[in-house]
Amino acid sequence: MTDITTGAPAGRARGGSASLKGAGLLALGIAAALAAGFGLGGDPFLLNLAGYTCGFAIFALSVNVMLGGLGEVPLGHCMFYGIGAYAPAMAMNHAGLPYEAGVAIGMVVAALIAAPIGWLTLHLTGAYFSIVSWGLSGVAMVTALNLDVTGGPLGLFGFSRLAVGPFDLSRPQTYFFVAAAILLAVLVVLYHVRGSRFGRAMEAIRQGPHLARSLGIDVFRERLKALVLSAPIAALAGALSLPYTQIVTPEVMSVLRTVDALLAALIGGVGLIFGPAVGAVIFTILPQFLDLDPNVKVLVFSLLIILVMVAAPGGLHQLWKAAAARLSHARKGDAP
Amino acid sequence: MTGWAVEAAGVEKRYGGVTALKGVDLRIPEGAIHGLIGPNGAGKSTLFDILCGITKPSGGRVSVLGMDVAALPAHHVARRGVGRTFQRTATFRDSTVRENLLFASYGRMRHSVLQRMARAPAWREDMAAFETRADAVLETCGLAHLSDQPAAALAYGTQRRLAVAVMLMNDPKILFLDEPVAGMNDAETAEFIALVRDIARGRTIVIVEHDMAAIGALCSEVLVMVDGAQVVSDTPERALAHPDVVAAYLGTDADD
Amino acid sequence: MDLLIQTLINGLILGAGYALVAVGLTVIFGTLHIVNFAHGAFFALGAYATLLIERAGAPYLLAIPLAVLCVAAIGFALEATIVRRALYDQGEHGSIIVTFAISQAIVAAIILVVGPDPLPVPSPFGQTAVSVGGFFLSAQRIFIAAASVAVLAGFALWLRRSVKGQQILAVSQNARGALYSGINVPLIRSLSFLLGIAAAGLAGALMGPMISAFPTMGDANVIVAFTVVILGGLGSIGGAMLGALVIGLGNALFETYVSVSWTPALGWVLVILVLLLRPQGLMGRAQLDRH
Repeated sequence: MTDITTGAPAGRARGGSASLKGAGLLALGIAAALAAGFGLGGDPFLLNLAGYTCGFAIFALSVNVMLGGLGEVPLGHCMFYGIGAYAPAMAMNHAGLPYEAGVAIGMVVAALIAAPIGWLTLHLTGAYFSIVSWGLSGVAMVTALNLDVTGGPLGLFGFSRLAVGPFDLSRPQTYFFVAAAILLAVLVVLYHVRGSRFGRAMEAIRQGPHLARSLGIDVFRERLKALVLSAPIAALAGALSLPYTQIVTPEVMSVLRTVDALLAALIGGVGLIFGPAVGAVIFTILPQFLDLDPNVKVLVFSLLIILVMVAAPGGLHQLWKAAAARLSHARKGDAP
Repeated sequence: MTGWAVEAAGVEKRYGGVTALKGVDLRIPEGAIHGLIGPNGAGKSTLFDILCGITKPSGGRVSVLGMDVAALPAHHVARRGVGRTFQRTATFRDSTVRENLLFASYGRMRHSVLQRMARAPAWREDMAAFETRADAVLETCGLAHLSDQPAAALAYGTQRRLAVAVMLMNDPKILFLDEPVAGMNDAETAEFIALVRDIARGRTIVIVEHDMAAIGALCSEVLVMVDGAQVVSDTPERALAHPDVVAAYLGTDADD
Repeated sequence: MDLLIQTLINGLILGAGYALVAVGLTVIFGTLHIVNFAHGAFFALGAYATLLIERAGAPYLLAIPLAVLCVAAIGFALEATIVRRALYDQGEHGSIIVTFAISQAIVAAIILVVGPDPLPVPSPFGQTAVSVGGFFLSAQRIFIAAASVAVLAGFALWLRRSVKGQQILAVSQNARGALYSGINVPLIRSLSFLLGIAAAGLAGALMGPMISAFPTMGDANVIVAFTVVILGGLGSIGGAMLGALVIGLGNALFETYVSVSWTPALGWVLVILVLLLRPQGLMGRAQLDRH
């Protein structure tokens, strides 16, 4: 997990190369986004899909704050995604507010809801936390089905104007560039989080909660901070799905959405900052190009995940690292 | 401060119907290296956890460094100068030696995520202080050349030294070592004993250990526990010669 | 009053069905220390296997044991290839993800092979209603209750009396102690996994005709089973049976007297409440295992 130190300056030569590496990755990301934005040749469908993929990547990053950061499986994270999608929809359709205001409201609400939820549930770990988390999203989904403000089972649609300031998200290219820019911003923030005191506390807790506590880390408080940080990011992702879906239904809170994000994070690598984003791209683009039936996609990716968990729990890149390590061992002879 | 690093009186612990500790008294003077021995199931680990604030006692008084550890959350106890190593999960195995020390310096750092992003002075100072401290600790523990090795790849004895190094980052006033030399070979044990003597200056150290040679070499006094109660508290030689202790160890491994 | 009694009877019968699913889940947790998120998928497999075997010409009563065998065989294959390697004694989040992925894969496979739409599972009891003391009960429900009670009683007896059953109990109470006393713990774990899966398959075969077969039919049931198992204490078989009856009754009463459309949330609310209010009983074991 070299990422953790690359965030530090280390006061020495490696510090310079680390921040250079960070800047290089960022430049690479921007270049990739620009190339994709113009390279997709203005195909509106692909651009829309690419924009949606950026949103999904943000959700995978949010899920990975819990998964890679704390080692918990937040099955119910789709609830925050759903809050983020419903908030602008409700703000536009019921209150006549602009999209941006709805997005902001959704993020604030997600954080405000995450705090008491975390306070109640983060004493639980492992399967217990996952079940409660899943349960809360189940309740949220039934609630959305039964309320009038959420449009019941039909959901909300027919939005007025999906735009961020001067950028009109109904134009596929604009949608993609805005989503990609937000994705990069989220990546930068999470990169610095990981290199910060808080990020290291999370990593320490993931590897050994008892040891972390004996080092003076308030395990519960840091876990709570992680949830409150990841919830608004998930909400942002949910809001960014609107230009693509044009509708919000209770299905948005289906646990399958979390599972998709978990799969993306696991394929890309939970220990890497950008792993979940890469996984999200693989997860949405590949089936598109292979023209896979959604169910074949679920089947293939589920089996892939099982393979990853059995062979390389840190993500596919681990297989690679293991192969590379074996090669260099063989070359060096006996390593210490 | 009273001159006592640990003052415990009548410490009891019950789990449901099982009594793990039956009124243990313990006093450890500041700066001492104190041993805690007894057969398996004697309640040493429970007492250990109580002294570190991880487990709360069912009865009795426990004061460590003048703190009522029973009334404080474990992380508060740790922040106020109480360190401990674990038998298992003693280090952060997925990370390098240096990262282990970074995790450990959590309590000495103050910067926020925003300050990290802006590379603000607060962050620079934290990192510079960390480098200085980490270098000193690595030197003390003989780990300087292993700084970029993953913890999981270290030899067993070296991992135990890393566990101590992790705790030293916070400069604890009292350090609890849970069976530190268990599973070490003779050379590693000798090295470790030298390390403990070295870091004991200006610190109180409490060791739970089955290796009587290590206890004899390090400790000025040992508390012998059997069945959740103390049998005797004396110098290692005299404690081990005590008839009750001999009886308790008889048939187990009294001679090791 | 009549409505109340009718509701209570329905609740008890529902509870008997839940008990099968929950006992399977709790046996797996007790010995393997994993929460099997794929349990609902095996429930669905049980119903689909019954349906397909019936289509091949077998009568319902013969299709049930054959379907259970099929599900057990699939469970065996998964145990030998995946569960054994990935899950035992490894980190908890691995087992959650792997069992969840297994469940997704099974549901997707069902949709691809059989299709997404609900299909009726024929049963000779299907259309008949029996009047007992003035209350009407569908014969299928009576059959579910009778079969569940018989199987559970047989299972409880087997656990007490047989050597293997005793070994399962020993492993679930203290795996290390069991290992030291010469029990083949990996074998017992595999056996428990198979039994748990088979119980889920049987429950699916029994409940299929009542709720018809659809790919995600296991979800609602496994949620209830979580509640039941957590309520009864994870790993406790008697607790699971008792919990199932309580939840069955609760569900029936809520559906009749409060709201049908909010009933799906009831299971979730219960599972959350139980976990939040009684964590010490559940957490005790999990935390002792760490350090």
